[in-house]
Amino acid sequence: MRHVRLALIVLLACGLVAGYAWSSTNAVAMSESAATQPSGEAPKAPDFAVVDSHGETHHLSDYAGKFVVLEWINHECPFVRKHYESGNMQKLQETYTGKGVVWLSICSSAPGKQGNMSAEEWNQATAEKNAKPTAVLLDEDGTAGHAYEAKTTPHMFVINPAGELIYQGAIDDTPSADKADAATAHNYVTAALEEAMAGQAVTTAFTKSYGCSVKY
Amino acid sequence: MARRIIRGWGLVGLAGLGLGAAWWMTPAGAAGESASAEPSETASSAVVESAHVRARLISPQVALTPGQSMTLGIVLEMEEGWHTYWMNPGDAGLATTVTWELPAGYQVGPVQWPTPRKFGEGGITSYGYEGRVVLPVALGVPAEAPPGVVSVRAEVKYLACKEICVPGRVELRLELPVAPGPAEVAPENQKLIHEATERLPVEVESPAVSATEDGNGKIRVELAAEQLPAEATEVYFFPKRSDLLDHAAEQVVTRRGERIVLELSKLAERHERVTRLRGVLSVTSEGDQATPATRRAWWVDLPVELAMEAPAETPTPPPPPSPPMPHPPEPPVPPGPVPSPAPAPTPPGEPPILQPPPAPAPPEPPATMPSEPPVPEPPETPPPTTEPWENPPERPAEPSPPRSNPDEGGAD
Repeated sequence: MRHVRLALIVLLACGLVAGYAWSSTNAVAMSESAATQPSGEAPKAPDFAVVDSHGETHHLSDYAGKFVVLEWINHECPFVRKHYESGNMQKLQETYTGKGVVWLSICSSAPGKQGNMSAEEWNQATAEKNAKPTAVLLDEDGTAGHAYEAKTTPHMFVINPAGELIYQGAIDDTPSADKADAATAHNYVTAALEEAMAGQAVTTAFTKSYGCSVKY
Repeated sequence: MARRIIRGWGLVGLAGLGLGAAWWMTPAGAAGESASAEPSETASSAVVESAHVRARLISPQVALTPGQSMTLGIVLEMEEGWHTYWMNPGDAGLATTVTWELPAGYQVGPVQWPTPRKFGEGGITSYGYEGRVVLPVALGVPAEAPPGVVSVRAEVKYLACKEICVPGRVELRLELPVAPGPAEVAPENQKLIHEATERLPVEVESPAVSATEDGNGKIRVELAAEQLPAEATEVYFFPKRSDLLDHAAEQVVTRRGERIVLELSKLAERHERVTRLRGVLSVTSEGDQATPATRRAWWVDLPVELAMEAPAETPTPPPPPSPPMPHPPEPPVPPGPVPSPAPAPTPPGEPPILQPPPAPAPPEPPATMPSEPPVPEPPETPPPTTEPWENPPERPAEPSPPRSNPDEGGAD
């Protein structure tokens, strides 16, 4: 008991010299959010025309009537590696492409910038990692990235069959580069897809993404 | 290093942050960055290297005194060109975290964050530290601490980025004897920690007086001009939360009589009202050959009021940039003024960024500003305290009560 009281006193003393910054983690800073409610309507997802690693051009409008997931990717980024080395991203890709979702992995690294790879290298990386996206888009001039204001890798966007952006932000609620966290985190992409496919409103339509910066 | 800083910050300036490039080019005023120092021989953990960062845990004195509270420092020395992140890393990156393992009865406070720098490229803005940063942490030694050597262990995780990012993790172990009576000082460490605490944003007397949000995604913070250094050349607000403001947006400074208004942009995706604004206000004064640049910073914690709209003068305000779609009225509005659906945008004629303008007659405030009494109100920040870096009182919106902060040690 005496220890407890003492701890309290010591803590108070610490408090006097401690700074304002209670939270040392971004996760805490983010959860401070008073109300992260969607506005009630989803913005229109911008269209784009980007060539994939097989030379085919993809427009978002090609996929009207389908759910589309956009995943900003950079295989050297530790946050991307977290989700690929844990198998989390492949599992999501497999699960949802299996349900008719179009999954586009997009790399917006400009030529000469970190993470930029040739089409051949992308095909090799996709095979090596056993990734299952519908396509890998090489957005070298960053038009798609800028249209969506993709900031990080990963940065996730979910588009409904009406072409509305129903989710944008982090892949999950645990900003870390630790593989083990992928399994225990709350996955926002899964949540948005499941809710939308069930005809429900998406609970969380926007979060702040985490990861490496996109190398425009 | 200098060249890289200049280049990096030059880009930021070009990106429209536009408050004068001088700040970005001055190494002074930054958060403790300088050429790497010799690690202390005593009162320090070993230097541990991981992910382009050399880390150590230092004590300002060579022994611990029972019943004493002191400030330790986590020293991170980044390789040239690499940086680690602030508590809000900005658009990308990850805040540094610390997990403690302490002897029974010992307590640590939260990590304290010196005012960060802004990094930006390609429209992506991050906040962090280059060179060297010392993160102060308060340590409380129990009154009944038995004599002997104790071990204070900190697991520090960070993300270091240059062109690529590398996660770092180090385990720092600081061993110190516990001895009654005043302990001998470790001068080098004490200096480092003192310098770091000097660079913490202060909790009191922030020049920020009030904050208002209009219906156009702008938050305007009014600053009392007389509280800003006359020679201020750069004003910047670092938001504590990462999901409120558009970090890359230009922060526009205008002068309106006795007030300076700092205009911040909400994230486009954030539709709901912002009711509280917390963060660090940083004001830099350009130096010259005789005096180095100086930087002052304050913690700001202000309620955000809705701006009262004067009747719009332009009959057809320009549409919002996003595709036209019916927007519902802004969700939950507390009793009080209701935002008009289409407020007038900032008048185009107003010259932005005059810092500080010698101009005697300020331009008329735009229609969106609320009418404020001429006398500055005291900021609604914590009650004044005597220590410059004391804690503010507990803020209710915080999810983690102070005693269960994530840095707290796992002592039984």
